[in-house]
Amino acid sequence: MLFRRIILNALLVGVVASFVFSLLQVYVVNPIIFASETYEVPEEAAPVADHHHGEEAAGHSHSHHHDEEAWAPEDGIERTAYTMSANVFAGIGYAAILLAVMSQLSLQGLTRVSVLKGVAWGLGGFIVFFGAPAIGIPPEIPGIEAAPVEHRQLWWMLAAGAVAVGLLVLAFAPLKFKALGLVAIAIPYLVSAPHPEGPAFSHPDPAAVVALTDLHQQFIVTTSVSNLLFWLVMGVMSAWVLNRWVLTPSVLKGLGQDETANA
Amino acid sequence: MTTQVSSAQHAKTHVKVSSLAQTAAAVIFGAVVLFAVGFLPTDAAHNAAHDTRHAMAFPCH
Repeated sequence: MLFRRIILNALLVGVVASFVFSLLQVYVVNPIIFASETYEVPEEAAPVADHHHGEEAAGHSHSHHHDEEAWAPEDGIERTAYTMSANVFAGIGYAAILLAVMSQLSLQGLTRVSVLKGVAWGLGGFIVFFGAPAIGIPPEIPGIEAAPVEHRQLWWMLAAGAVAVGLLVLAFAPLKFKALGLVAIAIPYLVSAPHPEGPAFSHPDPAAVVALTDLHQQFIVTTSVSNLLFWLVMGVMSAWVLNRWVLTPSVLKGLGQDETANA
Repeated sequence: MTTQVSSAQHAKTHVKVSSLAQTAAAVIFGAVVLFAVGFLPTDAAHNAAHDTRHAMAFPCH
């Protein structure tokens, strides 16, 4: 059954791709998050120039100033374990969507996926789910000033959804419809992403603002590289499992298509 | 001959609906999982996935 095969293979692709991502995250991305958190100022406390949360030397001060009461994983192994689990789930979710779209377009005879085309699918996924939202709302470090999270989440979904539709139309729709793909891609940027008034960092210490600005630049670079590699693994591996384990002769037969139906 | 063609056509129509339903279900499955990781506003869900949300450029905080 097609659904079952997509989900099972999404588990495999998601685990492998998120493992690659987790390695990069633990070594180059998370240190920037932890360093940023040492500059977080608790909302209830008066701004104090040299205030840091706890052990700044360890670079691990962990506090979510907006919900101190809520459960959070302990810093260290527990926090890393939750992060890696969340990465696995994100990988599985993305892989399920990618494999489903690849399958559908293949079954309709609009494409014949190969490992080489998997690179293009991976780039597409990177553009849709990282690049498109990040153009409007660059990857954020803790402590950055931002518009209300619900607004940013809605815009994120609009950007990813519209650019996904736009790229698919550009790639697979008949020529006369391709202009509509460009229109779809433009929509989120015409709406424009929600941004707060004022400076990106409101930390009272100018030196901290300089440090945070520098951390933010590093964060944008390292997350871009990590997510690009994540998506290249996703694209190539999804293409490979699609031909090997998803659209197998028996599945195609079950769907009433012979092996050459999507040639 | 005519019968064969029409039954083949019928089968093909049936197939398209069936495969579309299955791939759509897989997309919904993926979207629900992603929503839980990247968007669920519950504090515990946010804190558990905090570093993932930042690293994957989901809106956070």
